Amino acid sequence: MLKSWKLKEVVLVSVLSVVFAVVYLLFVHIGNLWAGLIGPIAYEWIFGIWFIVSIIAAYIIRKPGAAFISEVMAATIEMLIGNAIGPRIILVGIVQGLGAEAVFAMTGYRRYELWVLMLAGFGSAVTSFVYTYFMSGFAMLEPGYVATMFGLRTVSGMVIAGIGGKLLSDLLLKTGALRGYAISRSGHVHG
Amino acid sequence: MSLHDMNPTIKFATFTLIMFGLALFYNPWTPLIIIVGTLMIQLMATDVSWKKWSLFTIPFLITALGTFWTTLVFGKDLGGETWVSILGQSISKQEFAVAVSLSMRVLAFTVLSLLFMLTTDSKRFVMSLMQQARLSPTIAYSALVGFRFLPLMQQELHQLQYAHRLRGVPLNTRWERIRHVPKLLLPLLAGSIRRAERIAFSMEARGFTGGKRTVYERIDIKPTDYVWSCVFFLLFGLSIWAGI
Amino acid sequence: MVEAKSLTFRFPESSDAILEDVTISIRPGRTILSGASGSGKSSLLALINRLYPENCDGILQGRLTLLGRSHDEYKPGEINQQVGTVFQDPDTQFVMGRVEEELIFTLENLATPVEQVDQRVTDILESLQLNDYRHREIDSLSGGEKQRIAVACALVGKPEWLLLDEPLTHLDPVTAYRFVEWLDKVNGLNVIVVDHRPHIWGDFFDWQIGLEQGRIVQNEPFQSVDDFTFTRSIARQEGEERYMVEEVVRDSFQLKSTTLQVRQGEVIAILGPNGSGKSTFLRSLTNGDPRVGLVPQSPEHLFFMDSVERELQFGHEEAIETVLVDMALHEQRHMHPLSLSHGQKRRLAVGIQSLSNKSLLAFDEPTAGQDEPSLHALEALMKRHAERGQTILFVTHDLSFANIANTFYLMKDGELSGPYGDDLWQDAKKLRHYRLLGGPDVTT
Repeated sequence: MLKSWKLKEVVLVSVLSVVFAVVYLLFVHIGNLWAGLIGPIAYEWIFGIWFIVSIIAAYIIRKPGAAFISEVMAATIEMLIGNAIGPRIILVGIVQGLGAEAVFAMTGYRRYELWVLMLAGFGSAVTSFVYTYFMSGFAMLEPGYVATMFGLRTVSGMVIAGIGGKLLSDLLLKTGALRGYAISRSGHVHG
Repeated sequence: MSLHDMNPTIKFATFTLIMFGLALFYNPWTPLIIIVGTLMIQLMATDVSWKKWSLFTIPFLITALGTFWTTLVFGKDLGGETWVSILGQSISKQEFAVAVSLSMRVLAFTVLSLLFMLTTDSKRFVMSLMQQARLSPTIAYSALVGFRFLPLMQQELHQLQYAHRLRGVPLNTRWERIRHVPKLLLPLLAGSIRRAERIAFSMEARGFTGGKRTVYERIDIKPTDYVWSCVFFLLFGLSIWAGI
Repeated sequence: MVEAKSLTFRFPESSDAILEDVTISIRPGRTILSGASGSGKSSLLALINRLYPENCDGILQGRLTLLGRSHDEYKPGEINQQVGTVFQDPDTQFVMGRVEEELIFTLENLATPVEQVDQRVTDILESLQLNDYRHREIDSLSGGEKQRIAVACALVGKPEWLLLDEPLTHLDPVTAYRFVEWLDKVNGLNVIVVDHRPHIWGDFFDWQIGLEQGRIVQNEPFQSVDDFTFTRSIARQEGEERYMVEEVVRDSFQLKSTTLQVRQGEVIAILGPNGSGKSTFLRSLTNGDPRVGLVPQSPEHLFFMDSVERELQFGHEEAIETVLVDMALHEQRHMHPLSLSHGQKRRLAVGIQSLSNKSLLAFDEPTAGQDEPSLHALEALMKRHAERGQTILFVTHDLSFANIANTFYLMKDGELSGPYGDDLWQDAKKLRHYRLLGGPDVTT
């Protein structure tokens, strides 16, 4: 998978992962404040935050594996800097990363328009929900409540990760820091 | 035989398996036994700072509480005799037990995770994944570079905040600082990306290819690693038995 | 070692050539590649250690022979066994935490047999007199120390050639002088250095190659040169103002409190080596005084809006048109501030300050890494603002550039002394005491 990658691309993914691991951890705490009051549904509407690094990495580097590797690395780093969800979070990262990666794979790693990025956010939402359903024992909750959670999470994935990820990457492109990466040669992005 | 010395990959695999196993049980006793057992091991075989541990645990106590009462209120109707009544909802003994179990599960995950985190050195973990789990050296060393960036980024963040304050951005209260975070993210990312490229170049200039390389520091699997693994699985077995 | 014939090189994003029709031959010994930023000197260096063209997907035409083989015959990482490189920024050259680990990392890359690793580490540290650093944390070292460790890492693989890409940029003059002196003692090494301020190197080299806009303009035996010259500001000085600098105590460091008395139109230089407390002094001076505007060493730290226009318009209602024209930024008005060149960023930073009516403009280390045209542009900018009645103050360890100032202060261990006039330059003893002049008789 890494054969076609340049070292600077792998290091870039790692650095993005570090930045977003910190952001992720920040949002775990923001989510926690709510969760005490309204339960696990508190996380759902901001869930897209936790998919954003895979969208950004894939959109910048445009190579197979970018979405998956970045999400797993961010999860691992998040664990090592203090998310008490622990080793399990790496599995969460794997599951979420696979969801987005699958969507990019379906386009043959050739299309990176907004709708593809939103679909990738949707993909992560679906795979991660299946995982949470099992691990958190959602089978024990009202189906209506579970459906609401699912709906919120997919919308959040498409909006925060898909649209948000694109906006942030396009801004980064404008700063000139991404010169020399695939995104800067993609023509159809206005700088 | 401190837990700090346990092979990180074996430790990781053991803990992950137990956590998955835990997800299969819906009684309060199984997670409770895991919590008690894990804390006893932490007390006897590690020198984890309990103060640090408590700081990390607090947020997850809140999550556990949230899980507890959502399960009560939004939980599936399992039938049975009404035991108590909350907010006009009648709750049976079984339903109450499920709620306790799910919130205990959150705590059991937390306790195991913290034990892993507080007894595992990041660098050793990455090195061990490279040697035992065949993680690609390119990813492993890039991750180490990422870790080195953490203090650098913190430094840069302070410099940015200072400069922005000079320009009249109010950054005195906590809320003002949080509101300004999105404006810090972009310069921080742009700077980090430029630095990432420089560091990648200097790795390559020193002959790093991700290909064939010597392994100087071996992180081996010792018999005690298996002993530790068995201890944790025994604990898990005990907890399952207690739940029946 | 390097044979180039009709070499042309460009990046895929642009049709402008970075190197054009370059024909040179670099032979064993010590060579300097000089030229302004954008002259192509760093790209040429990156072609020699094979970071380019691969890493930028660059387009290369002509012939390039490295160590007797065509450049494209080398496998990735192969030439790095014979060519070691040290880069400009001391903070982005290391992967591991401690010095020893970093050296081991390099030896592992080169597939050195495990049983030789320890000895090789010991040998290189001993031969470079760096024994004491073996177990030190790299982050705890100063810029000069980090550059020496970077040299050790480049040499531990026993290369025949050492390339250095502007290695002195972040060092103060005495540290830079000592670094050169120390490098001079390493025997039997062929060196190629990229630098746009050759004078610090004294007579270190035996060959010089000059580049200008991608073309070779100089290829001859080396002759040591004087530094660029700068002239004193002649702006009219009037009035008088006072600025308080409050005490700062941090760990083992203490900045003494002072009151600074300045005149409008005065240009002031605060001189001192790295770590003497110059930046802390500036922080204390700017802290909470609305009359003071600061241009940080990285001017981009001030920016957080997404276009030049919005950046200038932040926080006030005044018209920005005159400032845009004044700072020659009207063509860049819609660009992202972070995508500007260093000179443009600095002008934007000054523009921001002019819109908020600052009476004193402070610059933190404004000359680091700047080439000659950029330094002269900075000189002109400062003089222009002095003529408008602003007080200009800058902290620096650049003694040549300091010549534009009317008044000097010296800084050491958090204590400011001065003001001094021109006669300071005759007082070599004082300059040495403040670690501003190199030379074998430096005491501290």
